[in-house]
Amino acid sequence: MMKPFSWGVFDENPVLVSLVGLCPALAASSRVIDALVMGLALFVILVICTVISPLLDRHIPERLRIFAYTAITGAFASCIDLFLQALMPEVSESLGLFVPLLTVNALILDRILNFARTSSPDMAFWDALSMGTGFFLALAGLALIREILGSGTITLFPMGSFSGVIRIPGLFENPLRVFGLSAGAFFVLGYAKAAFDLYQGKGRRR
Amino acid sequence: MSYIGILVSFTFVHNIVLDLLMGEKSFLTLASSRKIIFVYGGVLSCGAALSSLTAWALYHGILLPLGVPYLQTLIFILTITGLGIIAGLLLDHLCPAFYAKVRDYLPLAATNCTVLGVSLVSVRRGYTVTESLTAGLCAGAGYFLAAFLLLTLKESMKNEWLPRPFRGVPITLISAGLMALAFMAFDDVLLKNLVTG
Repeated sequence: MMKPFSWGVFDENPVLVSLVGLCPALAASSRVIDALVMGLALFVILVICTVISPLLDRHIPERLRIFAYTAITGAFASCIDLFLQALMPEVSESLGLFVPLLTVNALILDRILNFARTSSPDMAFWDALSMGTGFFLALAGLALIREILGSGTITLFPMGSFSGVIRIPGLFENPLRVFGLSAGAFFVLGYAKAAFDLYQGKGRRR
Repeated sequence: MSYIGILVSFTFVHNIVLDLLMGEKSFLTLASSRKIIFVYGGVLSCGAALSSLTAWALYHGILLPLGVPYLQTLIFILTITGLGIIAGLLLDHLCPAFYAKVRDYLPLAATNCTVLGVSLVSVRRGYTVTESLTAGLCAGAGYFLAAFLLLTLKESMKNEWLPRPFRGVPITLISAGLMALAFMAFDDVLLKNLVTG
């Protein structure tokens, strides 16, 4: 029996340890608000799909497995995409293709095909919960670093008189633009992974 | 947009892995030998071309007349995985020796972001049928180019000393970032000059 939460957040963090589902992690991390919405979208799809999959697995022939599970993830990814287009058009615009692309997200398919479909729904639920949280936290952290360095702002949800954008003095006037570009995504993830490995290695004395 | 424009755009300017950031997992971890890159790049180019072609046909032939363009993601992914299964069956039947080489890569390519991504991009940009085909082929070529260059970088770094935490994936990520910076030399101005000039 695994520990429910620290598993997905630290030991097997999808972004920083097992490197699955990197497309949204790299692409949606240039603004904090995009990362929060993307993390939440992936979390919802992951939890729903992994809880459904153990119930369906008996009825799916082996040859059609990928076909069937991508149909399920595709349906939910389309729903979330339409939902975002209606409620948050500006964020949806900025995330672009990456919400529909959650259909073939390696993290979701990996958890369904390699873990959830042969386990029980409640195990699958806890696994999805911890993996989703791990992904969410890693994505939010990356986005925070990239946005502060890359444009000197922190973009959050606008509420009342608060416009949603926090400006960092000093960096806002002279941002390091490279961190906002796709090259910066690779750099930040590379250094974050190295730092995470170092921290994990010390903790376990490997 | 002209075909040269599409070629330059998908292969260099908006390279599928370095600029659009799709298909990262296989780009960073699968690419471990030249043979794998050749086979996987080939499978991916053919898959992307075939799927953007069928995506065009489905979108303009079925989804638009029925007025349900919002089903595109679902229909496209079903087509892509279906095509993957059919291609596997056909190859197994016609040429088992070749199928044995590519069988591990077919499901991987079918669930690669690149293939679905290119189909969605070419439909949303309103490409014609031959433009969609070109876009699919060029995106695959861009993937191949980036993966091949990354492998060459990795090989030349094999004998260099690196701080322990950076060995393996982190240095690969940082090299990919530097490559993305280098690819920024190909920018939209270059593309415009090529297309109009």
